[in-house]
Amino acid sequence: MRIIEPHIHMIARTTADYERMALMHTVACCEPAFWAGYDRTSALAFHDYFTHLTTFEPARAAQYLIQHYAWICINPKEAEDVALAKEVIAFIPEFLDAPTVLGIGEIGLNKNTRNELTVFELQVEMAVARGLLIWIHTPHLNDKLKGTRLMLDCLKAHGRVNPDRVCFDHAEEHTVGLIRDAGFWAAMTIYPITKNSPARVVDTLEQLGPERLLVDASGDWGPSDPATLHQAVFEMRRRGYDDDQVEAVFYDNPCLFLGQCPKFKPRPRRRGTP
Amino acid sequence: MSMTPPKSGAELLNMSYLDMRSHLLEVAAAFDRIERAGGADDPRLELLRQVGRIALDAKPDRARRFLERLSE
Ligand SMILES: [Zn+2]
Repeated sequence: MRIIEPHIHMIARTTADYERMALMHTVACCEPAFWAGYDRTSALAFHDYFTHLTTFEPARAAQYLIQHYAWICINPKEAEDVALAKEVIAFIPEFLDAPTVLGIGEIGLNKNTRNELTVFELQVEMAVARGLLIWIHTPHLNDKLKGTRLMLDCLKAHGRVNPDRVCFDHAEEHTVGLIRDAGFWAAMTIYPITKNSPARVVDTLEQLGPERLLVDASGDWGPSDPATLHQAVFEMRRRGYDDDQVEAVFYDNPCLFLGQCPKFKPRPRRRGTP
Repeated sequence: MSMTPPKSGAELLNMSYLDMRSHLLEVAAAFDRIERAGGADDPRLELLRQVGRIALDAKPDRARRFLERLSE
């Protein structure tokens, strides 16, 4: 069985985590650009970060036979300063042609402010103009429902955003239906405490079906673990699903979404919608 | 399209009984602990009581309603 991790911040993880992921049959992982746990002090710090994501991490992952892909953007948590965001957006195109960059992400909202929405819209525009995939971060906890609605409305009103090419991440029971009903892909993140548990992800798969649904561990520098993705694999098997059904969710689905970017190499086991 | 759960309700209860018991017990113990320490004047306690009632009520979609209640 092969597994794809659609969202993980390997910059915050040790090499031992790459080894664990390889031993758990992860063949590819994707790293969206995000907050470092502190606000970066200049646009140049973002330039260094994007360089790290497109050079060092793919090389480190390759030692464990894992393909490493990246998403580039100015993240929502640092989007409050619109002037800084514009400085960063100005050099993002330098990185978009890198052989492992899949698109713009993870853009989105954090506190659902006007400035965050402005920077979100600027980056959606860049993705649409260049025909790129979009990876979206939805806010944490109490702000999630409102932020998800704001972004759905914004993208629906845009007119030129193809929902097949956009994934809303960190969806939970109260947002996953809204996202998929609007035609977008949804991803469910499994964290030890917040977001989803392995059992709740399998519950959602059962109720809504596996179409346009991804699962990730979103491992970073906070309470998180790459293995929560594999705990969901185990939960699905424990609940009586066969390997074919499991691999359709954890391997084929990421291939179908991410494979819309020709740079993404893994291919689904079968054609069409799972 | 939804997926048919391979396990029966009784089998699923067997799989999750101890987990459910443990999580509810933790909630009970945390309320006791906070109360023993003099309580807290914090609206989150009442919110937790409300979502606790949702978790234990007899209507479907408890998880979704639980999260909606905590949303702004
Ligand atoms: Zn992230």
